[in-house]
Amino acid sequence: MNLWTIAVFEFQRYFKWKQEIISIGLMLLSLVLMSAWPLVKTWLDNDYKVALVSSVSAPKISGFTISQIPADSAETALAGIGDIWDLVVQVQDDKLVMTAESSASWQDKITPELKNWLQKQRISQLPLSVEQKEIVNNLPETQLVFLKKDSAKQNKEQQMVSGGLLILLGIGVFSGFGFMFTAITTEKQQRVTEQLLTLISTKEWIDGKILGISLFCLKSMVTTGLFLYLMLQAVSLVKGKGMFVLPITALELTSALLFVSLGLLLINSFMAGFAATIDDPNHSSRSIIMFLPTVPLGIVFSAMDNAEGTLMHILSLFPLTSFAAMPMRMASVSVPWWEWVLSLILLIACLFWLKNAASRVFELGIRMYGKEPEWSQLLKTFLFARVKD
Amino acid sequence: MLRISADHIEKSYSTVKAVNGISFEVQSGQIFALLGPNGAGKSSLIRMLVGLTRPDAGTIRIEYKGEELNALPQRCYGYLPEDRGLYQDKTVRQNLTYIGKLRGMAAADIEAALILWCTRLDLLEKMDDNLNKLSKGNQQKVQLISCVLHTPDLLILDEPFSGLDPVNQEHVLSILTELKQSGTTVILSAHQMALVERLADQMLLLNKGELVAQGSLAQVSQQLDPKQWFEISFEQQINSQALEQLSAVADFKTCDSDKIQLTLTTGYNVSQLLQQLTSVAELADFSRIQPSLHQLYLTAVQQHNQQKPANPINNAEGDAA
Repeated sequence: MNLWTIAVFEFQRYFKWKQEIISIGLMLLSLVLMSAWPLVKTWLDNDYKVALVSSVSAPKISGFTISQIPADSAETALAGIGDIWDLVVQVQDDKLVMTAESSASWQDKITPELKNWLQKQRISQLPLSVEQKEIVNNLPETQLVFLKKDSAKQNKEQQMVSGGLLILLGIGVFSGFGFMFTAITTEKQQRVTEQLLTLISTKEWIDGKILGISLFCLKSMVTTGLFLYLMLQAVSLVKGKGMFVLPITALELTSALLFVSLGLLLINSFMAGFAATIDDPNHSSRSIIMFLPTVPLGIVFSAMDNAEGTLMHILSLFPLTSFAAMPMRMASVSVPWWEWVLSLILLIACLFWLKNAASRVFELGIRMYGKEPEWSQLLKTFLFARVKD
Repeated sequence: MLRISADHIEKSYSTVKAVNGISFEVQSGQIFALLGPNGAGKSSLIRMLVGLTRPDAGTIRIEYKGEELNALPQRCYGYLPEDRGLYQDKTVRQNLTYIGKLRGMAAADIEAALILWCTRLDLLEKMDDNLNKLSKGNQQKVQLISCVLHTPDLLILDEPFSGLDPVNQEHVLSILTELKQSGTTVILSAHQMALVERLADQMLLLNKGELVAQGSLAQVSQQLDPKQWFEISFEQQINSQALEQLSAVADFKTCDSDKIQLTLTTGYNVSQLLQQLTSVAELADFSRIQPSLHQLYLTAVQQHNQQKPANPINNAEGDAA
C-alpha cells in the first residue's frame, strides 16, 4: 500500500501538468518548424546567377539560375561579375574555369554538379553506342539474397529504430540520474528523512522511490519517442514519401518496453542507494559513482553496428547491459527465443540482487548527516551486509 | 494505555558521549519534558525513542495496549523533528495528505483532519500554498499538524515552540493541554522554561548527556535548590546585624530597607523562624519564594558545568552515524 503511495508521490513530484503541456507544445512547435524548414530555406536562400559560356544546354541546379551565353559574350560576362553575375563558367581545353569575385561556400555546391555535367558532355561526344553510353553513365545494380527468412533485417530504417531506442534509453538513464540525485540529496538536506523514517521503513521508501522515478523516466522516454515518431512522419510526408511505417512489430515493441522498464528499475536502484550516501552534492566524491550506469549504454552504442556479432550476443545476455543490448539486437536481427528468456531471467535476478544491495547502502547513508560512509564501509555494505526492515 | 521505560541509556558519536546512563519512565497521559542546554542529549534521546538511532547500551521498553514492545509502533505516535522536514516545493495540502496516506489514513479522514487542524491553527487559507512560501512559524504549525493528523496516542515533539511568536506559543500550549486532557501522552523538549513550567507533569533535566534532575516541578525544585527561601517585609527598617544573630537564619540578602530574603538553617522549622524574627522586629508580610524553572535550570546547569570539565566537542546531536 505504502509502496504505491510513495511511487505516486515521487512520480507527481516531477510531473507537473503545466510544464508537461508547455513542453508538448514546444515539441509540436519545433516539429512544425522542422517540417516547414526546407520550404523556408528554399524561400530565403538567394538564387546565385551563373553565366555558362557553352554551346550545350545548361544544367538545372537547385539554388542557381544558370544562363547559357555564347562564347563571344564571355568578356562582357566577366566584366559583369559582382553586378550581373555571381559566377562565370567557361570550358577551356576540357577544363572548367570558374570565375567569381571572391571565394564563397556556395561554390562548393555548384562545382561537383558542373563537373558531373561536363563529364556527361564528354562521354556523349565519344564514339559509343547508346547502350555503351548507358553502361558508362549508370552504376551497376546490386541485389542481396538471404537464404534464411528474416535472417538479416538490417537496413537504414531498422538502424534508425535501434539508434532511436538508444537515444530514448539515454534520456531515461539521465532523467533517473537527475531526479534520484536531486530528490534524495534534497530530502537529506531538508531533513525530510527524519520525518519519513518514523512513518515508513527504509525498504518501503527506497522501493516506492525507485518505482515512482522509474515510471517518470519511462514517461519521459515515451513522450520523446512519440515526438520523434511524429517528426519522422512529418519529414516523410514533406519529402512526399507518404506515412513512415516503423520496421518493428508490436511484440518487439512490447519486449523492448519490458527490457527498458527493468533496466530503468535496475539503474535507479543503484542510483537511489548511492545518492543516499552523498551528504553535500556540491562537494561529494561519491557523485562520480552516479555516472556508472551510463557505461552500459556507451558499450552497447559501440557494439550496435554489428548486431549479429559475438560482442552484441554477450551484451544482450549480460544482465548489466542486456536492458539496452537486447532491444537493439531485436530491432536488427531475429533473436532465438531461448536467448530472450535467458536474458530476461538473468536481468530479473540481477535486479533483485541489486535492489537489495542498494537498499542496504540506502539504509546506511540516508541517516548520516554531516559526513559520508567510508569507501570500504560502502563496499562491504553493498556486497555483504544485510538490511533490516 | 502506554508506558515508556528507558533504562541506563547510553549513546556515543565518535568520541562524544551524547547520552550517559539516562533512565526515566513516561506514564500514559503525562506531559514529559526534556530540558537542557544545546548538546545536552535531548535530541539524541528522542531520536532513540522514535527508533531513528539505537542505544549503544541500555534498553527502551514500551508497554502499549497491554503488549510489551521493543519499539514504538509507527502509527501510534507523531514525531516533530528538531530539524523540520517537509517538502518545501509541495503545498500544505500535498505534504499533509502524503503523510496521512503513509500513516494509513483514508482520504476522507485526511481531508476532515486537514480542515479541522488548519482551521484551528489559522492555516485554512494557506492550504494550497507551497511550504516555501509560508513563514517559519506557519511552517512549524504545518509540521505540528503532520504529527497530530492521525490522532496518535503519543506525541514526541523536539522543540515544538521554536520559531513561534508568543501568541502562537500560547496557541500550541493550549492545544497540547487539550490533547493531554483527551489522554494523549506528550514527550517534548524545549528551551521555553515558562511554558514548560505550566505544561509539564514530569521533567528530566540533562546536561552534557547526564541526568541533573528529574521529577515534577516541585521535586526538581527540591533536588536543585533544597534551601527554602522566604521573603519578609517589616513594619520598620531592619538592622542586619540583628538578623545575623538569629540561629534559624542560614543566609539572607537585603532587598529594601524594610524587606529581606532569607534561607532557613537546617534543623529549624518555619514557626521557629517566625518566633525569632518577631523578636527582632514587627512583621508586615511573610511568604515562601518558589524559584522559577528558569532560575532552577540556570543554577543547575551552572553547578553541573562546574563539576564536569568542559567537553570539547559537544554538538553531536545532529550526527546520527
